[in-house]
Amino acid sequence: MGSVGCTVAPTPPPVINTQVPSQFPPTTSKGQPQGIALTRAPRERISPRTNPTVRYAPKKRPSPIDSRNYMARGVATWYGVKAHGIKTASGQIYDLYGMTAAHASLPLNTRVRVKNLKTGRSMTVTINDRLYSHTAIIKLSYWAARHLGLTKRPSQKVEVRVVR
Amino acid sequence: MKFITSFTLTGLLLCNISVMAVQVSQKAFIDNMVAQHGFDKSRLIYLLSKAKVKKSILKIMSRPIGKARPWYKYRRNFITELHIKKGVKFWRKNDRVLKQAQRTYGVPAEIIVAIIGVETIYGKNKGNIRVIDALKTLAFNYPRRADFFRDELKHYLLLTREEGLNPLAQKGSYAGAMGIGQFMPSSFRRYAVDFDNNGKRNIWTDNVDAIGSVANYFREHGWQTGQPVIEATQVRPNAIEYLLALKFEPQYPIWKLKQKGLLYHGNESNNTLGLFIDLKTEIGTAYWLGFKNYYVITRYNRSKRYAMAVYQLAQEIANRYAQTY
Repeated sequence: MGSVGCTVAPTPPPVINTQVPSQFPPTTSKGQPQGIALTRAPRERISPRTNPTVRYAPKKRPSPIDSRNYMARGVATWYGVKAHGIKTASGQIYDLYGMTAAHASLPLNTRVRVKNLKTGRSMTVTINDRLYSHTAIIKLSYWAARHLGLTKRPSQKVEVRVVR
Repeated sequence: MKFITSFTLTGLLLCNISVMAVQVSQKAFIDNMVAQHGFDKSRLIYLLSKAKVKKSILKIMSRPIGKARPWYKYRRNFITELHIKKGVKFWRKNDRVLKQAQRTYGVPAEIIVAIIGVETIYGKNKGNIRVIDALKTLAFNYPRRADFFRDELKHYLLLTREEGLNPLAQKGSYAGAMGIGQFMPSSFRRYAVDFDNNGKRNIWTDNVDAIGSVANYFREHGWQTGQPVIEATQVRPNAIEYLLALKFEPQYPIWKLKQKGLLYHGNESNNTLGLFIDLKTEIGTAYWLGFKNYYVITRYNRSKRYAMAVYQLAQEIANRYAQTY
């Protein structure tokens, strides 16, 4: 925690001490630090970047062992042309012809098989970005979405499985 | 009726004039070849008399250019399941040779495979027109690029002499591009290699020589091993006009492009040279930053859509290759 505090305010330590309350960082009843972990994810943004000062904590965060058996069904959305060229959470640049996707919690560089539940069509994409959404479980690159036949509608039901 | 007759008359007249012009330029060409390269005059006259002028080629070449096909339609022709599947198969079959080419010339296997895929679908569409017919037609009956094709005809005659081939037997595309990698005669003479050391540069039926030649072509044009080819980029709307007016050459350092309104997020150093590319997708225009290697691909065929298709096909094939091993 201490290291995170340092990156937030790299001003001389005495100044910080006068500003912060006696108990820093403030903790919840469970002992988790407040202000570091957000309980509610912010609204979906076009350009999510890794921000070292804020750590997002999705409600369900599979542990590395969990993520190997991860399977979920839900709504998929996709990136449009506006996002072409943005920097993703992994540091890679989003290319609309890439076979990539954003997910809330799976480790970056995980490969997942996405299946369109309506048509049965499926394909493998690599997670390279973070998704902040209450409605969608995955956000696909344009070409992946097109390949799965999802681009005619803004969102459609899919199944996501981790490829081992 | 009157109009039609007069029209055909003038047509005939024009025809006669052009036939005369053809004969004059052909004679000059033969004289030149005899004087400069020591060809046998009667042999050249015989060869050229055996070559046919193909009307179908002139028809293809004089097609109105009109509106260029947008990128997303162009892409559909080259990035297909067939190209990817056959590409992976070709890669597996020639794995050892491709690795050797990668070591010798520093050009990644997937780029070589993609070029051969886009050009001829791995040797399937090598073209079925005699090279001498195509080159004769275009050198003497297609004034717009006659100089270029006369030069190619010269190189073709030289290369058949050097390689000991029959000039009347070799086949290629309607523009005279030959073999698995579709080399023009001048490129053949400069860049083709005998990669299997059997004493012959056979790019028509020998995959090994074709692969080596493509790789050598890229190296000679300055392929930078391990460097990026192209990356997606964002751009300020008011900068698009300026960036599109730039030359199609990688001569602009990233810092300068950024100054002008490019919003590039890559890790390349600010001094890396790049060029700005726009392509129309189904959902709107998207922008890329091409690097030296992208420019090298356009040396194979001067088109930004062509180079993009090669690069994306290479990515798809490499993906599939890695997944199905």
